[in-house]
Amino acid sequence: MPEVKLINVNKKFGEIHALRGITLTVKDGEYVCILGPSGCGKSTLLRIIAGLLQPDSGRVYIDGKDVTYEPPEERRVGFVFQNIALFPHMDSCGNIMYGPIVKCMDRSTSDKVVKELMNILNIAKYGGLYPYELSGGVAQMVAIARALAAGAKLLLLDEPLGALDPRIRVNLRYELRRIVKGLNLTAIHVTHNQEEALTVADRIVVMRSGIVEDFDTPENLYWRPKNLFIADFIGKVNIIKGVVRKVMGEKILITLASGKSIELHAKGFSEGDSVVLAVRPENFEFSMDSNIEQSDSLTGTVIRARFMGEYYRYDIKTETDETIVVNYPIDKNVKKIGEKVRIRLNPESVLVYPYPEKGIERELMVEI
Amino acid sequence: MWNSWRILRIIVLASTFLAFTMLVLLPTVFLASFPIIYINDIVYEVFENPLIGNENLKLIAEVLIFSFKLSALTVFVDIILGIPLAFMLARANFPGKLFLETLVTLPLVIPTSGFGFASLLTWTTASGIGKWFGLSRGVLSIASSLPFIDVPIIVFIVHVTLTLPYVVRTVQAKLGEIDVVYEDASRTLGATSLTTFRKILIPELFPAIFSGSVLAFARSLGETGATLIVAGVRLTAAVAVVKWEFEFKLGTAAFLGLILVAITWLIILPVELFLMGAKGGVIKPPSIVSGSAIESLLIRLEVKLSKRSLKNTFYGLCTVILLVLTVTPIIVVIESVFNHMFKDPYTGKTEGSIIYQLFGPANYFPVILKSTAVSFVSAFSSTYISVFLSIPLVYIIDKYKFGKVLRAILKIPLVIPSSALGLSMLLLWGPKFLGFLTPGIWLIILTQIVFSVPVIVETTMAVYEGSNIKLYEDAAKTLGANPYHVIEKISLPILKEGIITGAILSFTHSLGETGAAMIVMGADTPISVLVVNMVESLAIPAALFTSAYLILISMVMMIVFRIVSRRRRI
Amino acid sequence: MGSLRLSNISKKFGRLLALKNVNLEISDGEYVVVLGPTGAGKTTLLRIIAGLLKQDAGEIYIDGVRVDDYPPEERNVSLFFQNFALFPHMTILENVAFGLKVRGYDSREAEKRALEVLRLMHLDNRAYSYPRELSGGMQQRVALARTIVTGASILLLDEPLSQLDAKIKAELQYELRDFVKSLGLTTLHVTNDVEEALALADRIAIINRGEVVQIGTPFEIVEEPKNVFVAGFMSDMNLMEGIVEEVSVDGTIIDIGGIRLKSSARGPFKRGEMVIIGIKPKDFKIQESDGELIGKIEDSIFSFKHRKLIVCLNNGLKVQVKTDKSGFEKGAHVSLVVDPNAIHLFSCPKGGLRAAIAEIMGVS
Repeated sequence: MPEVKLINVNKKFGEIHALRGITLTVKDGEYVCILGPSGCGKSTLLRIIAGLLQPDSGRVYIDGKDVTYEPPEERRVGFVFQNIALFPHMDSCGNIMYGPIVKCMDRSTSDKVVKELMNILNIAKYGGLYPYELSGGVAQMVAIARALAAGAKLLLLDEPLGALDPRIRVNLRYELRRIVKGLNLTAIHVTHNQEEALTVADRIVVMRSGIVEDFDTPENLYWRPKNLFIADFIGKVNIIKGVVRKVMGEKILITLASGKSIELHAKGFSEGDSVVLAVRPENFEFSMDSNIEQSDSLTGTVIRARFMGEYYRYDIKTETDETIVVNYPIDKNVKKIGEKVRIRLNPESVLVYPYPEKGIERELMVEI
Repeated sequence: MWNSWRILRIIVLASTFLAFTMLVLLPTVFLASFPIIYINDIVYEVFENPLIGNENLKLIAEVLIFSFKLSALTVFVDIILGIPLAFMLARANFPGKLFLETLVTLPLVIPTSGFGFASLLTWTTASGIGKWFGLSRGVLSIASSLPFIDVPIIVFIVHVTLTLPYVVRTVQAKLGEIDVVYEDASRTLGATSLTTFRKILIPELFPAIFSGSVLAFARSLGETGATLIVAGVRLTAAVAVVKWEFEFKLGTAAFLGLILVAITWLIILPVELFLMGAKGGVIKPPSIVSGSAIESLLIRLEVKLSKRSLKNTFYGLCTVILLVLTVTPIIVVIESVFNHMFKDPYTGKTEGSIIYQLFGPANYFPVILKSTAVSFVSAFSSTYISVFLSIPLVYIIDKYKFGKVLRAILKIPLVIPSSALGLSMLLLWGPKFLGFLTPGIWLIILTQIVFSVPVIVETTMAVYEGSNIKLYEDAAKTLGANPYHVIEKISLPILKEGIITGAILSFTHSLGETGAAMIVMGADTPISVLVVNMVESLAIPAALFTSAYLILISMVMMIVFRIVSRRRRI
Repeated sequence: MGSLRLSNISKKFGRLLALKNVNLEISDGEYVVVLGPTGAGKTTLLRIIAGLLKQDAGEIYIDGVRVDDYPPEERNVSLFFQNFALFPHMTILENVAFGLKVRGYDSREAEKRALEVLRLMHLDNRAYSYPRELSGGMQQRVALARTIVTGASILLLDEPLSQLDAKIKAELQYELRDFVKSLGLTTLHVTNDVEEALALADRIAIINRGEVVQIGTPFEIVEEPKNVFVAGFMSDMNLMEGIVEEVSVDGTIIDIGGIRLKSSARGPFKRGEMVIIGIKPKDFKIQESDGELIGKIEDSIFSFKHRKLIVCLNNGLKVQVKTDKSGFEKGAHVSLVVDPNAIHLFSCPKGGLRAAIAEIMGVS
């Protein structure tokens, strides 16, 4: 179970600074996702770990060994590509056995290993079929078997589900994790899909424009994101502006643009600070009592109502012209467009950050 | 509205077909008619000659065997040198890559006679590189042969230089189409570059390698211009056709010409058709049983040989060889021109200088001027007409199922022996058949069209296939563009690059074409043939000057070509 | 102006039946999404409507007029291509103005209108750039602008959002609908993404293997699926085989592997017939004890909104159960009840349930 260590890895493509000073360690047996928008450098980083690219500066260690300038054929890693890349002129067995053959491994041992692998991945019956005869999901499983057949303990996956139908993607996520954990592998999986990363990873590297924004567990990133960008990137957040009115020990009192106030647990703020509240769409309640002026609720009008299968999504324009997105479970009281509503925030679930210097839009931009 | 477009389309189609048949197809086969019509004459002259029995037939066999040996060897070396070069151009990035690409394309357009003369000068005479090594004669003698195989070295290296581009470009193009991801996958699975090449790339590349080899073979078989100058007494089949035509052994020449044309058709057409139809890797070269003990040994060997230093050395070697073969003769010729400009460097006399030959009593200068005019006028006219014929052909190839056959047929004029082509044109248009034309500039123009159209069609097809043009045409249609708009605003602008590069290539090629021109030119001598004449009449300084002049023009055209095609390579 | 009617459209490619008797009616201003797995025939359908491909059978009516003999440029529909198809040799402005120029608009007028639409897309400052200089998201907006500005009233969108990152797509999809609605356009949008369809559609047509399987509002499709394919494709409904035991006026009793369940649904089912029952994970209620279904928790799938448990029932069947409550351990026993109204019944598909599920998952 190899450990992967990156120290100050930099990579430029012409004028574009693809990676800047990346330093991180992936532990033995961890399933790590590298999550970020297109162009953030995540694929470049993965290819450097695989040896398909060399960094301009910095070091790459796999299992304690400095492999920075070693060609890929000498590193024992398995690589799974976004467009699957099964060799078209060989059948599934031929593809899977490629690694062991090319490494001159003992035939009888590798035959056994491959058979076992194919059983675990449920592809035993596809052995004699050619890539063009396989459906996307099966083909990717064959590609994974191929990557692991020669005994690699480090699995690198470059957007492995990207080329598949959305439906298959969701199911295959669980398969990937099951396989990696079941075989005791270390895995680094690159993706731009937040849900995928949250479901599958032990820890997630969040990247933006060549730098690592954070490297933490899905829970921490989701419930306690370090900054506004991560809060918004990991899952949608509504952003509500406010000002700190009073600091009372562990709690602060914030006044919102509408005049309403809310009390939150937060540290490190002073009176008069401009702040932003980040609230996820699931963390709102509709208030029934329209008579009582609740100080921590907002009033607004529904401008959009969409049935999304598992929940209803409401876009609500508040009296202060901010738009709040609320995801609400399906129940009998479906709201209609034009309806006036009252929404309450759950103070426990509100995240608060200092108002970004460069402005909210710049802070949330996916390309710096 | 629907109907008037249909009618227009039919008119364009019909006229294209007519023009294609008359101008491109017939010439490549018409030579077959001669022996059929004059079968008695041929039997008389070749088979049952009262004077010499079937001596002529034996001669034919002799030159054919020699040609086959030469061409087979040439192709063998082409593959060894060509594949690494194709790799460098398709996969690697290094300073001077553009230069290498130009160098690889140069032999396709360089005037064959001029290049032949330059090579002769460089390798076999004291004015060549022998000088740099302090020799009083050439590095090679014109007669020195390769050991074991009785093939003159100078002819061999000239053929390699001239045919190498066919292999390189075909393999490079296919490599460019193959997604790098398969090589990446192979490497991450532990295979070194040689193993990857053998197990992953060769199955995909095999058709391209085969196709390029066949083209190179046919080109070598038909190579006339340079071979005329360097072969000396040893006759290749293509040269023999010219020689016998001038010796009035017309029947023998025509019979041999027919054999050559038939061979070209027989090897190119089936191979191209088969390769075009066999997509999806149906063609599998014999493979070593995967995973066997033999393979393990092979893999271990490949690991040793794949070391980066070895790889780079090999690539460097191939580049150097290409450079030496292609550039040295050019440098030598230009240097010699300077040396010979005002006086003969050996005797010191002005009588042997270029200026003297050009402006003195021999007065070659006006002859050169006239030939230049002939060459440029014919090349320009033929290119212009060819462009208009090529564009509808590209569409026909794409739209109709038989387009594949058309495309395969179009490969043939690219490599057909030029002398045989000339003979065919003479027979087709001359007094014996259609009777329209006598040898002269018009016939030259028509002959040039025969091989210009395939060039323009190929370069345009390459752009067509590489650029998703169908998608843009569909988009334009759904936005409301009628067929005329689509062609004017979408198709032509996108294809423009392919058409222009094709036009430049065919213009330059027409300028330097020798073999066919010799037969059809009549009194209008183009510069390429003028060089041959000068060499034969031993007016060496004049030949020097004219070769250098021709070569320089083609190089300038290549630079223009580079600039035009560079603009789009973003 | 902008109604579309497809009548019995069929198309074959060699032996492959790409489309089979497709019937669809879209009224003026409607946003209809055709949803189905890859290869179901969606792109073929759009190309036929646009006139780039000719159907083997059936008719197309645009605004009541039969257009089968009209070439694409005369059909008054706009096709948005999956990979944008922006003309590489023209600037953004020239691209967007193209449709107007070829319809005879004055060059300056065309560019003026093009600029207006670009302004709406916040891309007027890139008017003189070339497509290759723009990011994927920007190219998508330019392609959309180009499709819209022609003034055609019917918009055909071929997977317009598939090239975009998950995050950008999640936001852009709502903006797309609003924008198109504000211009009063009729839209036919094809995709394989369920979430996209739900976010955008007034009505959804589910297509599988060239056939339209169900048409309805998002709510109808998800809550009232008509067959196994729709049920499995649109949601994570648990699907199980069962035998009809009793049919009565207030419902049907089915036996699944020894457990008897009552469903309030009544279909054309007879006693002894094999049917498929569907229960959504959220419709299982966990009880203290004595539920109809007893099972053991095998695994749990963590998600941030709720917990999904995989429960192995006494009869060996495995079901997914969604719950907000926590504190469930692997190996614990649970007791489940289901409201009869939440038990859906479907005819058994040809080839059996296994084959049908493989088809939904795309592994056949």
